Amino acid sequence: MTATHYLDQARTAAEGLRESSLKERLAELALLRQRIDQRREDIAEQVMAETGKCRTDALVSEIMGSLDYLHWLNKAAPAVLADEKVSTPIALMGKASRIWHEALGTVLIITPWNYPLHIALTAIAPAFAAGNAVILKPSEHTPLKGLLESLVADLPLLSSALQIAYGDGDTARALIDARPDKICFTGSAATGKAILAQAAPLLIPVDLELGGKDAMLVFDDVDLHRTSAGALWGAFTNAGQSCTSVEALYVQRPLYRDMVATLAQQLDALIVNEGDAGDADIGAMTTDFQCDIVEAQLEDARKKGAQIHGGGRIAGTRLLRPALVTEVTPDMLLMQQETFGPVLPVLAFDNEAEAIRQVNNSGFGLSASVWSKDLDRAARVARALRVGAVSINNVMLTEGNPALPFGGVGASGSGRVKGAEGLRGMTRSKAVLIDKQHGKLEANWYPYTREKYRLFGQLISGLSGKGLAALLRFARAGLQLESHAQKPRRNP
Amino acid sequence: MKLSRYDYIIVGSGAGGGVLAFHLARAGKRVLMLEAGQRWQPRDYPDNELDASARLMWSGGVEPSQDASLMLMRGRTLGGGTVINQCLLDRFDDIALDDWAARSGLDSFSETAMGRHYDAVEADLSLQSIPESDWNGNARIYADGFDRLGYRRAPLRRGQSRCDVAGGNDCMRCLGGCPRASKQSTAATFLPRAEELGLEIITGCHIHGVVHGSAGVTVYGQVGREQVQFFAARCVLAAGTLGSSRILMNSGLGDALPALGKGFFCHPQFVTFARYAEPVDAHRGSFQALKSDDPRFRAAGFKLENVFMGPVAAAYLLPGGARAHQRLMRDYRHLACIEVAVRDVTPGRLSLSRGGQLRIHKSLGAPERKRAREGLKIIRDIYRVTGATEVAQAPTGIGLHLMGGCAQGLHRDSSVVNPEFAVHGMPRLHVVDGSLFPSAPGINPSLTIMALAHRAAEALLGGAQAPAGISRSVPADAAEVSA
Amino acid sequence: MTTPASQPIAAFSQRHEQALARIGDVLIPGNGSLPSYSESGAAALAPRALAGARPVDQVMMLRLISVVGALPRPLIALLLLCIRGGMRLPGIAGAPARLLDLALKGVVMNTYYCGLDRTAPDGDSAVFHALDFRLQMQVDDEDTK
Ligand SMILES: Cc1cc2nc3c(=O)[nH]c(=O)nc-3n(C[C@H](O)[C@H](O)[C@H](O)COP(=O)(O)OP(=O)(O)OC[C@H]3O[C@@H](n4cnc5c(N)ncnc54)[C@H](O)[C@@H]3O)c2cc1C
Repeated sequence: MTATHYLDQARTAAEGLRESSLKERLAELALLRQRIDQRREDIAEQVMAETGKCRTDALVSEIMGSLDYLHWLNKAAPAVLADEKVSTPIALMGKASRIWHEALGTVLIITPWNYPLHIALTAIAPAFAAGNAVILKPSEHTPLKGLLESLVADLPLLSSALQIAYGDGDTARALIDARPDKICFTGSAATGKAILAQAAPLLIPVDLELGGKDAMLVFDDVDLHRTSAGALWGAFTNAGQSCTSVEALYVQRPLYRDMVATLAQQLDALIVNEGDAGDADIGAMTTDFQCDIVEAQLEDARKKGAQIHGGGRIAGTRLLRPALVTEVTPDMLLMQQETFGPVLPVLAFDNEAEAIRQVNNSGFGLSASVWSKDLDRAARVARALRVGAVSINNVMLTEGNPALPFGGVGASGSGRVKGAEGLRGMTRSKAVLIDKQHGKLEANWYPYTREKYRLFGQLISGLSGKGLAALLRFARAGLQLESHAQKPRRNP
Repeated sequence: MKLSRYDYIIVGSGAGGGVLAFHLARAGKRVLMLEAGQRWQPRDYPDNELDASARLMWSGGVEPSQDASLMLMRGRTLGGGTVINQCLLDRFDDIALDDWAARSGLDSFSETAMGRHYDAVEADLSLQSIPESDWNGNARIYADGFDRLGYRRAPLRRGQSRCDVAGGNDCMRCLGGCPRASKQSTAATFLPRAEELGLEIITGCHIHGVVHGSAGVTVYGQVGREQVQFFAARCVLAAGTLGSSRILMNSGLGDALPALGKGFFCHPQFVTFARYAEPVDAHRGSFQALKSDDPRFRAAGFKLENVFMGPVAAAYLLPGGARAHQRLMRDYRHLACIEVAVRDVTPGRLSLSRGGQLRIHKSLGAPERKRAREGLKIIRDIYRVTGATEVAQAPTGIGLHLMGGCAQGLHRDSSVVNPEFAVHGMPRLHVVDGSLFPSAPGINPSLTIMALAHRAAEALLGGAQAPAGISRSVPADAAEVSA
Repeated sequence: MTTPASQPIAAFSQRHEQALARIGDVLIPGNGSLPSYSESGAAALAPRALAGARPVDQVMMLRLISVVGALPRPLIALLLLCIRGGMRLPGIAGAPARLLDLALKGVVMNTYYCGLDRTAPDGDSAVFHALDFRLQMQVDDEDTK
């Protein structure tokens, strides 16, 4: 099937969806949710087989995360998508103003291989809820062939609204050329730029969820055990293949040594394996090339003087032992590029300002976390960070609440998914102003006369003045304008 | 940095692990063995009972059952139980194997089907029967009693190559490891040969658990205070009955394996001493030479063992208050000893406490008490007819043959390990040691554990290659090493 | 496995040694050729004997030795008598007595009858002398190849 076919079919489906109500669409999403729940072990198996994830990662972030989102969407969508009444200024007295959140039409969703189910669902579901037809182009590395199709089979609206176009970058390019109404892309910054460039001349709006180099800032008043455990989970969950993985841990100097020792000890206890029954901590990497990137970054760091605790690839597998990196310097690749693997560089900082500067200098700006007993300090630092999300005394937790928007700053992308913002992102707001049928002409309509011009002047000063006198001036000017407007230009 | 992915990791180096490692290494597999105990040069084995207990045994010597009616012993050293055992190597009879076949549903448990596996391991060992010329006073009392009372006895067959008892050597020393490397422990036989074929061994490595995956098994534990983990395409637990069951339970597999830890047996043994006017010198030379070979005993479910032990063990087992006890100990050279070993039928159970400590639920049921009583009566008769001046019964029982807990069988509800030696539902995880036993045979277990390891090697290497096939596939020089 | 220094038994002190010697003397008062437990100096071997025990058991042993060793001698004797009696109780009822027996009699007999005392006049083990016990074992280099 060609890209044009996909788009033609999507446009037809989008037309069809206009006949459906939000309630009907949400009812299908509720059924989808039930099915995912019922089939969760099967789904986990398929996700594990294609991604190498350990079972708990597959269950919790892919399935539980998706179910959570669908649950939230069902509750929140009616309010977020409802027609809005907005106030009408006094100058437009007698009229009503509305915003309608309407479907865009066709949305192209391009997803990466790290969370193939979760990222797809949290884009498909709001797009569909808002009334769009969706074309999903999953990563060729983790297509999950047939899974979504089987989940939506015999949901009449959803199965006609959702098409899945399997393929690689060429498929994506062809689909973009066929002019969807919006593109949602999650993936690397390089591909993000290419998509934006391709979309620009076609004037297709693009949401970009790109990579990160997310920082965790730890002040010296924290609970060592919990904070270390949080850092390891944040760095290694999904084998570190999350855009919001902790990729740089900044620890206030007095705590640095103890924290490194605790991290090393906790790291040694982490079990690496894939295809487990829920008892492995860290699964396999999804692709060979990502293993190579991670190993090359570690090798580069080692050459430049870093100390590496752990690490290494188990021969003949994509299993990487997690690595703790100290003696890190800015010239190391792992401080400049996204690593996207189970690697945790640990750095020391002396004071708040320095820490903030270091984090804001990374170029990326997806998320961060700040750890301190002093919540005022934590909030102060959180505000100063140039990122899309901050967890305080926790890690990667903003993603745990589907009501919160998700998205980055700078090289980490733009646009938001999830939350009300994400749902609205699948709509265009249609502004509506409603007047009644009557014979009166508006004051600002023709003809323009010197008298009208004078009265407008008075109206404006009444509007911008203060107090009762100004209001009265405004009202008088208004009334005079109105009566003046009904008169035609005087003919000699 | 490349980390190894072994073909096999074997946890434990005793009767099961040692033999299996050899056959896998011989087939060209890359094998890593992880052993909690230490490696010893034969001449450095402890020369006293205190250090032997503290350094070669689990828990510093003995592990009591929950009701402390049985004191269990198991080796923790490279070579496992085979280093500290008496190396008496007997084949099972059909009485034992038929029961296994019935419980497990496997007809491969029969004298004929096991025959070639026994042949194969025996061919790789030096086995000697203890000649009458090597009898000490204790053996003579035993033989005399049996003959007078009309019971059948037979010489013991032991794995040994050059004990030189005639030259004055006392084999009791070898309960703390044989310094002459004559006793056929795996440390003296299969393991060195396997190492020549490329087996890697890490000692002092205590394994806590395993995680089974689609492409391999992660095995994790500790070396000293360092936490370690290793990865292999397949993992074989050969950590013994208590060790393998514990590793599986600690890995959280109890729910998936309802039979795990069940069916624990240990051949409870009850020691009776007797004092004679003349020195017996039961501790000299081949301190075990004879076994009971009476079909009536076999049918009744017990054996009488011609046995003795060092002063520490004797002192622990001798009853009585301070003065009586001291007097008996001072007459150590005048003591004779026979024990009754019961073929137990009341299954025990292994579990983990909340704190992860192993609990051994094993109490003596009515059948075991009856069997013990019958045997003890005969022992007293023997002492009576041979002129003992005093008889002293040990107050606690002991268990040296620890068996079961991961029974082999067809069904998950009654067994843990399938006929291919894989844990049910976990094709890459295997168990090959005494824990496979579906019931207590009433016969010395270790030769059969070795034979099962040989059978397991065939199963793992794919297809029922005949044992000769394994040998034949080996280059001539490698075969020589094992000759 | 783990270094003895890291184990609870490393806390075995002079006081523990004295307490254990008091218990030992009740079990082994000595007779003629056999030295008493305290004369043999066996109590000092306790940490070596317990080095292989599980840490939980080591902690228990230290406590037990302190508590029992602090009793007056007749009470220790009475306790040991009760233990011997209690051991005969079947099943779980007899478990405490048998465990105490294992712990107390076990460590006393182990440290005393292992022959590691050097209290005989010739510098050998006085205990083994009294038993007239010696194991012979010829080990030459070739043997251990
Ligand atoms: C004093 C004594 C005398 C005996 N005499 C005889 C006899 O004459 N004939 C006979 O047939 N049998 C005898 N036995 C019994 C025989 O030794 C055992 O049945 C046999 O050794 C069991 O073999 P196995 O492979 O099951 O385990 P073992 O030989 O016990 O080997 C298990 C190994 O695994 C290691 N291990 C356990 N847990 C772990 C862990 N978590 N991590 C790493 N390593 C671990 C242990 O240290 C051990 O080395 C005797 C036993 C004793 C104690």
